[in-house]
Amino acid sequence: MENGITNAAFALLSAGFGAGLVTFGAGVGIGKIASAAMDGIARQPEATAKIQTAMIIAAALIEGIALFCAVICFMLSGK
Amino acid sequence: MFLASAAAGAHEAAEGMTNEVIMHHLMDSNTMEFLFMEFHLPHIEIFGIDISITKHVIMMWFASLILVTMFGLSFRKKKMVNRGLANFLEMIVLFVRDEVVYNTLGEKEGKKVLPYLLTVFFFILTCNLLGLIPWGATATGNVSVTAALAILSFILIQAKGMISQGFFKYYMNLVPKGIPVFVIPIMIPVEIIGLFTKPFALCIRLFANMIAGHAVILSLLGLIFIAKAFLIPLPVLGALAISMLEIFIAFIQAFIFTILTSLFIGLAQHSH
Repeated sequence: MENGITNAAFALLSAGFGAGLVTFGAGVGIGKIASAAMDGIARQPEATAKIQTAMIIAAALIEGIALFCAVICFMLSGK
Repeated sequence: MFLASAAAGAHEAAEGMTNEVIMHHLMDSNTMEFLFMEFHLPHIEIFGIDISITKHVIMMWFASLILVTMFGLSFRKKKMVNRGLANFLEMIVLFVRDEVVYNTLGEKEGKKVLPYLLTVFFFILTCNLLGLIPWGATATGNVSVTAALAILSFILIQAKGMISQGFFKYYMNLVPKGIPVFVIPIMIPVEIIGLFTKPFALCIRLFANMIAGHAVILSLLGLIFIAKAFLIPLPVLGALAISMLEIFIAFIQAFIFTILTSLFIGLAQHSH
């Protein structure tokens, strides 16, 4: 029985912490995109389709980065 | 105290079993399950490379079969105005052609890569959706499958770049023209790495989106085994809500893969 914190415990701790941080970052980023998209649609309802397309692309890119970190957290929590 | 530790032990055992079941559902395996039957698939190995037929391979074949059948049967007669399923498929094809490919690449260049991009869009969409039906597995939830798709896109991007700008000029043009001389040694490795990170991001984005959705659904349902039984409505409703989100994400990820590939092709064809 090891004394102190084991490697596996550290990995799990950092995985949880990292997952929370990633969610926060992704939420803030996509929130800003959505807010700008809402402003754009409110000013010019005719451009809704283009703004929506651009919003989806930007949101998917940010989500991609967030999911990189999610994959790393998965790998960490498996150790 | 003995009872408390026994309960804790049983709790851990339930958690271990839940982890195993979740992993079994997420990862590839050599057996295929349908209703109560279990098929053991052959294990084929050539020169040490494992090319056995696994669950995800069968799902990819199934997706291809569905696509070929749907498109083949719908478009047997060539009419100006199609009815029924052909109409619906034509709607999606026109959406990808006009909003995705022609918007980013223009009509002349877009026509040349249109077959590949349409194939990639429908294949990824079908594979994603097949993972949501009971007894189905997400083939795009396997990093090898998404890596293969990303490698194909990478080859296409490099080939189109080299064809449009000339074999060596394409790489010379990676570093833009009017920049100070001392920045060039930093720009060269950055641009070369940038060549590889974009398809890598395509691969990981698709893989992680598919795996994350299924992992959340399975973990929520696994809560039923770890917690008490009267909590069952909560995980089931949560899993239902996330399954709806999963359907939306399946379409979005197919669309994103396609539009990013066409964007990268457009970037590779025009120098900065």
